[in-house]
Amino acid sequence: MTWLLLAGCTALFEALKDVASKQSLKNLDEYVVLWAFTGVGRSPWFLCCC
Amino acid sequence: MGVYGGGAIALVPVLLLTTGIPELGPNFGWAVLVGGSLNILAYLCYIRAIKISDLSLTVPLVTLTPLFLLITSPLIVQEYPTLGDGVGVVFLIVGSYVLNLQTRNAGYFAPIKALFTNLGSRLMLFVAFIWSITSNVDKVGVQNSSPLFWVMVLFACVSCGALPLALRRGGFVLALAQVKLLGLTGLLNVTGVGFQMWALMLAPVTQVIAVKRLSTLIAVLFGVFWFGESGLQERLLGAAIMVAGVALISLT
Repeated sequence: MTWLLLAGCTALFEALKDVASKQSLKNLDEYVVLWAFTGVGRSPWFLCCC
Repeated sequence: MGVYGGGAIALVPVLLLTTGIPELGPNFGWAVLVGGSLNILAYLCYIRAIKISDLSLTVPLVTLTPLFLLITSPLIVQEYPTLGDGVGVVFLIVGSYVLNLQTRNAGYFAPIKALFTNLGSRLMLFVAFIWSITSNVDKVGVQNSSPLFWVMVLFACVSCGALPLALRRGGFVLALAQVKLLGLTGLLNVTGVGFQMWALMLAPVTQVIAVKRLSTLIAVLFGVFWFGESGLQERLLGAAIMVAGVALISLT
């Protein structure tokens, strides 16, 4: 049943991503958020900053 | 968070290194072009929809993609719906009606009208329609490369396509001020993708996607309890019916 746990985590992170996006959109332009949505999380540089 | 994000990011290149770059078919190029362009448009509409409307109202509408697939699949990849698909789509329609049940005092058809009068809902319907096309393009892309390679190239295209749009708006000064929140958004996205790919290695895609759609229920809960949106009962029930519809379509 590991797959079920992993798929459940997928669902949770999908929803959390929407929440973080909506929160970001309070102050930011949607084009910037779109880029972050698809680009920033893939940057190893950002991981180092965190 | 850093560990999870690092794991998700590390997973993709590791898998690609082990499987190698696949042989690309003749339709790969146009699939990337069409899939990339349409996904940029879809993501833009998606983000605008959750910006201007309630999360609990708009996010569940993404599950309507199979409804539009009834039209696009036979046309693009010559795949036809089964009886289970038909029953699932009925669930999706009923769920989207229940989602807007708060407006029922204005008449029986008001919940349906609300789907089209609310700009956020309308944009999300458009997203579901676009994704019904890109789902078929994804199939062409995967058939002309490999699932992993296709996902990587597609995300790279969307990301590269979004960059000039973001630069043109000149929002990077603000973005720097919000870099942690923006980075968190990206990290959550890529971590979710990482978990999905891991799950896909252990179970059939239909089962994984059916469970993944539970995200709409979680989004409704976050919408109500985090952002203070109204109509918990109707929206949670509507989203649950829609997820049941997706499960029926995925598993039959």
